[in-house]
Formats: sequence, C-alpha cells, structure tokens
Amino acid sequence: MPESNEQSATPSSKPASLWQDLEYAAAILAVGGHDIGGIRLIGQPGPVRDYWLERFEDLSGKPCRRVPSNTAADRLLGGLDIPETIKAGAPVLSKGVLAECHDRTVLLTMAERLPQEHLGIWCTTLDQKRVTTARDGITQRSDTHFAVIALDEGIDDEATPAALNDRLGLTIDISPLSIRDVGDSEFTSRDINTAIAQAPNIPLTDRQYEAIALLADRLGINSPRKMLQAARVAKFIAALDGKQCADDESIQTVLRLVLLPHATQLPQSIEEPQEAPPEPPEADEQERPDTEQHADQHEDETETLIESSMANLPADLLAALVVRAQKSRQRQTRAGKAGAVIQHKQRGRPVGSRRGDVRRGERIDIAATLRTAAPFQRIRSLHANDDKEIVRIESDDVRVKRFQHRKSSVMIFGVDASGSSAHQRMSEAKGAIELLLADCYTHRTEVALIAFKGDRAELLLPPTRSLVRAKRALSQLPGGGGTPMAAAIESIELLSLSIENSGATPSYILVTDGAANVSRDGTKSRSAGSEDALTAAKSLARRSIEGILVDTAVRPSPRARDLASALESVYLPLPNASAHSLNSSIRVLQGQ
Amino acid sequence: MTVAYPFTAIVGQDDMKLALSIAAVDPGIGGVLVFGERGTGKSTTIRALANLLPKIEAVKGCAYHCDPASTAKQLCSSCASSKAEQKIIKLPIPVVDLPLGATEDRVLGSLDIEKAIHNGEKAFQPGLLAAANRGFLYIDEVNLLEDHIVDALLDVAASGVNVVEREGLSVRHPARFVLVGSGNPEEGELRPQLLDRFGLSLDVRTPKDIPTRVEIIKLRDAFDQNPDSFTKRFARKEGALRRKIDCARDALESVEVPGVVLEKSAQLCLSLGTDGLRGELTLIRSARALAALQGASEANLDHLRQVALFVLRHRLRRDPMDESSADARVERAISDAFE
Repeated sequence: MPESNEQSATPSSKPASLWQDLEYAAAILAVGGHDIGGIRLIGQPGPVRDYWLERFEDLSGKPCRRVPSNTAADRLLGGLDIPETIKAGAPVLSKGVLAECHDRTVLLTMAERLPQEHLGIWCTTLDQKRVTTARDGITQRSDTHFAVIALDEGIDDEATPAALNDRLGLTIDISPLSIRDVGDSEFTSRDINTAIAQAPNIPLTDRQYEAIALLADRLGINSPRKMLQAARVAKFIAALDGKQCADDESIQTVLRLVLLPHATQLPQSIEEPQEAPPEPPEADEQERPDTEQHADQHEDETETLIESSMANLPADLLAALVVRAQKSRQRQTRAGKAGAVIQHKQRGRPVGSRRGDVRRGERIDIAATLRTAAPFQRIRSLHANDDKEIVRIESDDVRVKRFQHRKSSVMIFGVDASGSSAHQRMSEAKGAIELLLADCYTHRTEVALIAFKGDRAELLLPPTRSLVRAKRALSQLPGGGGTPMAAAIESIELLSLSIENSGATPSYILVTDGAANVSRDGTKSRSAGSEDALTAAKSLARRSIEGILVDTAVRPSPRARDLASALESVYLPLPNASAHSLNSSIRVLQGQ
Repeated sequence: MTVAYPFTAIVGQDDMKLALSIAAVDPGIGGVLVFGERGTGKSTTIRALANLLPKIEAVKGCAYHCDPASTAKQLCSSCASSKAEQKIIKLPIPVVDLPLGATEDRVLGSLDIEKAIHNGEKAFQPGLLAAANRGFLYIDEVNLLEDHIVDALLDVAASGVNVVEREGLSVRHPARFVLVGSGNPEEGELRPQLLDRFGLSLDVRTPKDIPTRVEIIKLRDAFDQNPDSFTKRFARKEGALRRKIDCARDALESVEVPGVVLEKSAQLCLSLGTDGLRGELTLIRSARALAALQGASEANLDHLRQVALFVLRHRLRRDPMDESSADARVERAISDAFE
C-alpha cells in the first residue's frame, strides 16, 4: 500500500498505513501463523495492543493461550503428574504448556524477559514443531504446532532474544500508534478461510524468490529463515488480497513486515551496481555467453522490482534504519547480559535431591520422594491396617531439592583507549588483556569491558562468558583522545554495583598509563582530571571491590601508583607484569 | 510423526555433509560438533542423517541393543549371561535426541517407578544414554546444556560405560555413542572438556551468493508445502547415499593406510603442537573413512588433506583467545605440510 505523499514526513505521522500493516499482520497470522513462527509486537501495553489482539482472535476464531515468559521449564515441558500418578499407580506424564498449545496461538507476554535457559526450549520447539520431554523418569514426545505472538515491552536496552526473533516471521512496532489511529477492519473471518484454502496454491515466480534473496542481502540479513518466512508471507498476502499469484505489491508488504525490521545495513544505492551474485564459480565462465543475455534481462526485471520496492519505502524510514540497526546490535549484546545474570540470580542449578524436611521451607522433590517410597509400597500396605489403594509415604522418604548456587564472578576490564595510552602500549596492553581473558575463560569467570577515551567511558561489553565477543570487542577497540579517568572509574563502580545486585562478585582490572587529563565535566585539564580521578578512586575503594591497576606507561609513573593506592588496588607496572605474574595476581583476586 | 528434510536436498554446506558422512562410516572417530550462525541448517542436516544410516544387528529384547558379535566384556550384564539363547534382530541405528531441559535421571536412567510401585521391585529404567548405545546422541544447542548434564555426559562419552549409582540402584551398561552437537557460539561457549570429546568440528556459515540462497528457500518452501512428495523426489538420491555409506562401513576394515599418510599426519600434529595421540589417530581414521566412502582401497594424502581441518581445528593448544584464527593456523600448517 503506497501511502499518500503528505503522510510520509515522519514515521509517527503515518499511523494509518501502520494500522493497515497491523491488519495485514493479524490476517497473515490467522492464515498461516504456524508456518512463519509468529510475530514480534514491539510496544507498551495499551488499548492499541489490546484492540489488535482482539482483532486477531476474531479473525482466527480461537483465543490465544497466554504464557508468561518466566514459565518454569518443568511447566513448559511437562513432567510427572503427581495426583494422576498416585491415582493410577503408574507414572502419568502431564502435558507441558508447549504441548498444550498445539494448534493454537501462544501469547508470550514480556518476551523481552525470556530467560536464556528457556530460550533454547522455545526455539527448538518452534523449529521442530514437536516437544520432547525427558524428565522425571519418562520420555514423551508430542507434536505441537503453534504460532507465537511475542509481546516485546522492552525499553532501551531490553528486547526479545535474537534467536527467538529469528524464528518469528513478522515484526511490527506499534508504539507510534494511538487508539485514534485504529482503522476499520479490512478482513473478515471468511476472507481468512478463503485465504487458508488458497495460500498453498499460490506460486512464487523465480524472479520473486530472487527478489526476496536480493532484498535480504541488500539489507544485510543473513538468516535463510527470514527469507523463507518472507516467501511464505508473500503467498499469504496474495491469498488475502484474492490474487492468483504474488505480485510486486505483495513483495513490498513483505519487505515492511518481515525483512525491514531485521535490516542491519542501509541498502546500497541501486545506481552503483553491487555485484549481485558474488562472482559465479570460474567453471561456469565458458557457458556464460549463451545464457548471458537471458540472465541479464532476468536480472533487470528483478532489479526493477527491487528498485520499486525500495522506492516505496518512506525516505525517513531508510534514514531511521541506520540508527535502528546500530541500536539493535547494542540490544543484542545487552540481551545476552540479561540472560547471563538471571542464570546466576536464580536459586542455582538443581543438583539432585537429598533426604530432608519440608517444614524448613525447602522445595520438595516429589518425583524423588515417590521414587524413594516406591520399593516399600508392598511391605507398607501389608503392614497397614486399612486396605486403601494409596501410595504410602513416610517422613523418611521425603526428598527435598538441592540447589547449588555457585557465586559467579565477573571481571571488569577497564581499558584506557586514550591517545597517550594508545600511542605507547596499546598493542602490548591488548596482548596482556587477551592473556587475562584466557585465564578468566579457564576459570569460567564472566568478563565485561569498559573502554574510556575522549570525554567518556563506554561499556563495550556487558558481562558475558562469550570469549568470542570479548575478543571481538577488544579488537575493535578504538583509540585516541583524552583520558577521562574519573568517568572510567565511575562506570566501573556502577557496573560493579549492578553485578553485586545480581548476586555475583565483581572485580576489576584497570589498564591505563594513569595520565588522567579529562575532568569529570569533560573539560581537558590535567590537574582537575587527576583530582577527579582520585576522588572517584576513593569512592570505588570504599566499596571494597578487589582490583588490579596495570600501568602501561613506558616508565612506571607515580601518577598511576598514586591512583592505585587511592583505589586500594594491586599495582602492577606492565614491564614487570609478565604474563605469569599477571595471571597469578588475577588468581589471588579470584581466590577471594 | 514429522518427516525429516532429506539430507541430499540440503543446498551447499558440503563440509558439514562430508563430516557427518565420515562419522556415519566410522563411529569410532568420536562425533561431530557443528557450530554456526542462526539458520544455517545445522539441526536440519544432522536430523536428516538418521535416514541414511544402515541397519545393525542387535540382541532381541536388549534395552541397549547389544551387538551379538561382541565379546562378553562389551555386552550388558543380561546379554552376557544369556549368550546362548540370544535371538538376533535388525535394527535401524538409533539416533537419540537429547532435548534441552532433560533431567539427569532421564539421561542416565533411574529407578523404574511403575515397577517399584506395583511389584515393589527395584528395576532400572534405562535412560537416553542406553537408547543411544551403538548409535548417535544428538544435542542441539549443546552449548546451552546445563552443567550437571554435561558432567554426566563427559564421563560416559570417554569411557563408553554408563555407571548408575542412585536410588539404591547399581547398574552399569555399555553406552558407546557418537556425540553430535550443534550450537551458535554467540549464545555461549562450550566447556573445553566437552569440546575434546568431539572427533571432528566445523564452523558453518550462511551461503552468501544469491542463487544458492534462492535455491535454499525454494527447496525448503517446497518441502514444507508437501513433505511427502518432496521426500519422494529425493528418495533415489537418499538411497544411493545410504548404500554408499553402507558399503563404506563394510569396506572400512580393508582400507589400507600407507606409511606416507601416517607420517604426514604425525608431521601435521607435530607442527601444530596438538597434544596427545588423539589428533593423529582421528586424522588417520577420518582419512580412512573418507577413502572408504569414495570407494578407494587405500587412503591417500588427498583424503588426509580433506579431513585435516575438521580434525585439527579444535585441538590446538588451548589458547581460547586464538579461537577465530585457529582455522587459519591449521590451514597454514596443512598447506605447509602438503607443499
């Protein structure tokens, strides 16, 4: 639906077409939600979202099943049904939420809070359309074929995990819409039924498949899953519009609903020919001339389609894309943090069960209790005075769940990327940090990376266990500018506090030459810079967080030494800090 | 029952297909680890492998599908004691999925509650490891597996025996399986100990060129629309590959490995400083399996060269910071060695 000119000034001023997209989305979901994974609906709860959900339920004719994102794994997958098991005298497995949702639409609320450890379960189930439960002594498999409406209420740094987004075909941001923008319904449930019948018969031409692949490529989308979803959505749209085959208009809607939200780069201008298929294999070279003409014409047609699709995108949207892409990259890294932290905040990993007393507020492990009691059932019923068909459990049988809460530690690397440091020892410092990272890795310590230069300190990498990311962040570390030492120490302090709040132990390694020359308010001044740095250092020292200061100056300077003593941290000048001594200091830190 | 996407209909990803076929020919190589981006078809390819595996002979009624031809030591206790009256059946090679969220008792096996409640009998209910004996154990998202499950797996994968000491049970049974894992490195690291258990490892990427991508979407779309007719279309190709793997399994023992291949593998391992003999052994076995797969009677240097990267890339001296350049290092060593 090309929007009229006066409406395309800013994204927020064209809610009418956005509502139209939402209408399409609801209809597409109702037609073939199962086949495209579902939708990610970004935006705060409100009348628009409620109204849309109502619309969707009307169209699909079935109410959604609401599943909170914090639903525990045993409920998602199902497990031993205790009452039924006791009644039947044989293990009865209860269906988990995922299996119960077969043929329905799951409303995943607060999807941005989906714990990392459940992400895999959701994704595997969506991929395989089947859930396998292997818990409490029984294995069961059930087919479950559902679509997910992920309600993403994330603000700023929160978003649904990338792995889930990859599986959800549609993405719409409803935040620009207010209830006044809600338009009329375009589709009826009869349209849906016709479309369901029609959709499988709708063909996509080779050109359209190719256009989808090319569009994805231009937008920097790598996942074949997205392209597949795009192809399917194109068919559904054509079916909904009552067309016999998908046309360019369908592809354009697909572009908006499926591909664009996942763009990671601005599409290259169509003028400068971007090598479409990067050099076909040399073997084809000889036969190319015969087919060239045909291929070229073919390519031209595709090109026209793409060009027209791109041209129909409002200009501001393209501009907003860059920002969005950068933001989403940030979001991804932060989403990783949310997961990692939750994993440690939880009660710990279950490590079996032991004999115990429920009255002490421990969690009873019913399956284990039953298992303990089971062998004695015969004897107990012989000795019992009644002849009731019950499972007899004595207090000795009771087993309680044991959780191990390994307090994890997070090592914060504060890296001086300022000009002075960069010129002197940056590569050496990087080398030292890599060694330290390797050590953190063997200790299963999480790492975070803060870089500082110019007028501020930046959290490049939130606490993570992924060494790949740590290494990448480090190698992409930019250099140059002043040394905002105070800001750096403050961000270390802030991060440490948030790590402590999440139940882990922070420690830090500050890698710098100690030449603070940017003050707290961002002005360049050597004296104010060092003064602010010392103040910040004392504040951090009061938190009694363990730390090391690695002095990267060519000659160990009193400045760095003073800073270290203000921080009450270990001082290691780099010339002396061989890999070995660095490692042993870090070990001392971790031992505490 | 959902139909699996045919192995031979997977576009590109030749490395992954090759590595999996090699593991199917010689289970002794020790499994395959596939790491890669989202949507590269990791799980699809691995699940598709199940259709290509030949049948094996097994003792009838044995929960661990013991091999009737093996020595008493390798059999489970019940098969070992009843060696005389065994009946033999043909079974498809088991491919067992270890689902995320599986509990330890299900993985290792535990007390059979039903028998216990009904008969007051302490019976062992075999777990997933028993089901995977002589077959494949597939762990999707292997890097997200809970730590205590990994602990349980590590020991069994190394020893080939599952010892269960819980709930008053004391059972040991054979559990020799080929570990196949897949995951996305962005979502978490793999425990180094677990990494060691894999014989071959590879890194898959999304194909970048448009025609391949178009082909992927078209085929997958066609499959999802009508899985049955799609599978039929590929039935012949699947059959051919299945026979090829079957023949290779039979021929494996007769494939010679000449001294020059042995020497070259030793030289490769030495130049890369991989620790222990495991790398060399796996190199030789993989080269032999590849030769068998191609119907050659003797493994040659070409075979060795083809498998070297898979075998060695995760075996370099543990320097986790060098992960990304590991491939480059191995490739350099390979090209040096084959100058």
